[in-house]
Amino acid sequence: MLPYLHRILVLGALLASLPILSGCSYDQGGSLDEYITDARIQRQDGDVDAALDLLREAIAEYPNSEALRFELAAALLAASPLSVFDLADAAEHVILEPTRDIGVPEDQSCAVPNQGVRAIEVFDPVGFPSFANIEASAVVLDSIGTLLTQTPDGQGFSTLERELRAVDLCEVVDRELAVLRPYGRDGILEALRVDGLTDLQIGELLVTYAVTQLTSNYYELFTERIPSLNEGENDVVTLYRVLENGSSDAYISFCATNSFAFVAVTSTARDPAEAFLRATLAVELRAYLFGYPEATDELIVDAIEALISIQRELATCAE
Amino acid sequence: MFVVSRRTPAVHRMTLRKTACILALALLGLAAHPAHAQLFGDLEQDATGRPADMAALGMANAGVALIDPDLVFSYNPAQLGQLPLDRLHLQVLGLRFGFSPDIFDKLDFIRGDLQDAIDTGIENLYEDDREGLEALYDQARGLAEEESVLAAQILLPQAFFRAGPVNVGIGAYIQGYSRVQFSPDLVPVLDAYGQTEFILPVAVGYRVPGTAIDEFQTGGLSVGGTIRYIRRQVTAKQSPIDALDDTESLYFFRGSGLGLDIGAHYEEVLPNVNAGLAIFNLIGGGVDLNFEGGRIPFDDSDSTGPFEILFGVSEPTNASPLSAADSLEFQELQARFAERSAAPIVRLGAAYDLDLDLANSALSGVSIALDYTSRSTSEFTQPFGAHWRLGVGFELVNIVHARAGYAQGYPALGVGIDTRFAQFDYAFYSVEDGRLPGQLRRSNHRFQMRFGLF
Repeated sequence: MLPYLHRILVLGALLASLPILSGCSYDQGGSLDEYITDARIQRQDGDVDAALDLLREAIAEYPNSEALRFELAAALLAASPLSVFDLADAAEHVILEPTRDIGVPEDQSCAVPNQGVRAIEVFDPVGFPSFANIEASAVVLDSIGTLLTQTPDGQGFSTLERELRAVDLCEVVDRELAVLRPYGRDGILEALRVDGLTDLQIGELLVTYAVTQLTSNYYELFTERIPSLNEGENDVVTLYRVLENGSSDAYISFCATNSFAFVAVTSTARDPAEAFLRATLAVELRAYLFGYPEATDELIVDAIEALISIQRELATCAE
Repeated sequence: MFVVSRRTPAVHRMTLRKTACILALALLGLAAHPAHAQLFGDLEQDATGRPADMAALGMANAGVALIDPDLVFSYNPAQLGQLPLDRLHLQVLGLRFGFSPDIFDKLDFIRGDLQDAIDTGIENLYEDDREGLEALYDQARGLAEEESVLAAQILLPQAFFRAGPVNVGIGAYIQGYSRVQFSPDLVPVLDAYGQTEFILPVAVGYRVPGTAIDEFQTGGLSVGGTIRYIRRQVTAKQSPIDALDDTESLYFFRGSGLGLDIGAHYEEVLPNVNAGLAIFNLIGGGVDLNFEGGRIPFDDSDSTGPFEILFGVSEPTNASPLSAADSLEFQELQARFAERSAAPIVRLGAAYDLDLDLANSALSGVSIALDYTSRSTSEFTQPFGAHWRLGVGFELVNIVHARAGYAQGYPALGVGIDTRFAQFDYAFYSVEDGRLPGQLRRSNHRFQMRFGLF
């Protein structure tokens, strides 16, 4: 039997080593980088739910990490039904031309002029296919928005939000040309690179921010804030699509049955309209990062025109 | 075909102290693998310049302590010193082909729907066929699950012979492979990489006098080294899908380098047990890839379009100045290549000859090999257990060999038919592309045939 003893020992040692070789005992996460890496791998592997669990666990351990908050935001968006096309659909819905002319209401105070209107119709904020996705994602959009824009204590802004808020919103939009004036793009990108993000990660962050902020503020503005002014049985404020004579650009305007509501519209719309602009900046900034590929042109134009359409009368800048 | 040990009387003069010395030497050489932030690709594997052996692949890539001429260049140059080489061992020519199971889905997608979308213009799809573009993104995300590889290798003439007191091995390879991956991002990113390289290894093995285990001068300690010349060219593309257009270019990098590997091998360190140690890239080993100004149009009508990514074989046809966007992309790629490490890699292990001696059985010559390698198989620092390779090889009937192995939580299998003038091999194995074993599996099939005097 003795000659066989070493064989038995070797085989026993190999069997004992199998648990090590199998890697069964390794937990995911650990350091901040490991959490982020493992969550990205889970997403790569198609398991977004596992990535979310891991990131929530990581947030509890590293609550002050912006990189972690961005990853969680991206994973939450990936788990939602929203896509970049919902951003495009919402922007395009805002700038649709009115197809009929119901006439400017004479019994209300209207931002739109009585004369010179080629077409006007009531604006239906929910009448486009992507709205179902946006509505279904309303709660998660709030969470993502918080993760992307705020510091963990809620007392400050994230790097991206802080940089975008430093842009003078009313200066940056050239309404005549429907373009954005220069706004220190390189400085914003540099600030994000300082946070350790690669350009591809910055691109992902910007598109996540844009989709989230544009759709959530669309939802907030048109289905929560404006309707909140209509508390009685009859609508006090009504939104319209308007196309003026001699213009090819439709815009969103409004009429109100009393002067108090009329004034309230612009103050109510200001915050979402500004967030709408920051989302537009993020769309444009991502295109700038990747050298303005042609495929992004239409999306940028749609977003800027939608922004102008909303800003024109709902949340005006001083000219 | 490999052997753990030649069947000789078991005279074991190797002391435990010598074993401890080898292990200590090995542990001193263990290099910490740097942490990486990059997710895509598997850059360290691309940078090795050492073709894996088919028998070892079927054994989950274990082989540093076996004795096999095929393992000399890539696993342990000291094995060369243990080879009897009483006759010329010559390989005339061989071919190897390998693929990941889903590579063809990805290639079909790139050559088909993605190329069509680029030809149409993704901006036009955005305007005219939003559903089509959304489907394109969904398709790319659906293919994100696994990095895929397509590989081909030409095994050029290879010879092992005796030259005075040393054994010498010289060979040459041309190998090319391509990696393709999509990210699961909101706008998916195409990450593609093609590499072709010419590798010329020259190895020397020497059996240390006075260490033989018996009066027949068999076994004992041998040492060896390999000097390897590598000439490599690479094409790469890393871009979000919506940034791909018909002016897209592939960037072309080229470089060469020399590297020195060393090894030690002890036959019969314990009864029926061999030990091996190799340190790769002890000196050099890296290839400094340079952007040579050349670019390849992504939709070059003279070529097969995105297939130019594959294998990096094309000569650049466009040397026009880089745009700002091109420069940015090229700089990111160059930074990515610069992350590759030529740090020394240590491989040590043991092999055990089970010596079943089953006279009436078809099963014989069972060898078990266990390796530890300091190299990570992904871009991430991997834990201790991910560095082990366990394999078993055995002779089924005369010329038929079967292999099996287990590493990183995945099984491996292989089979080979060895004749005097021709060898045919197949291996199926998996590699961990993630950080932890069992996290992100990349499966591979490999086929090889070669001819010569074996």
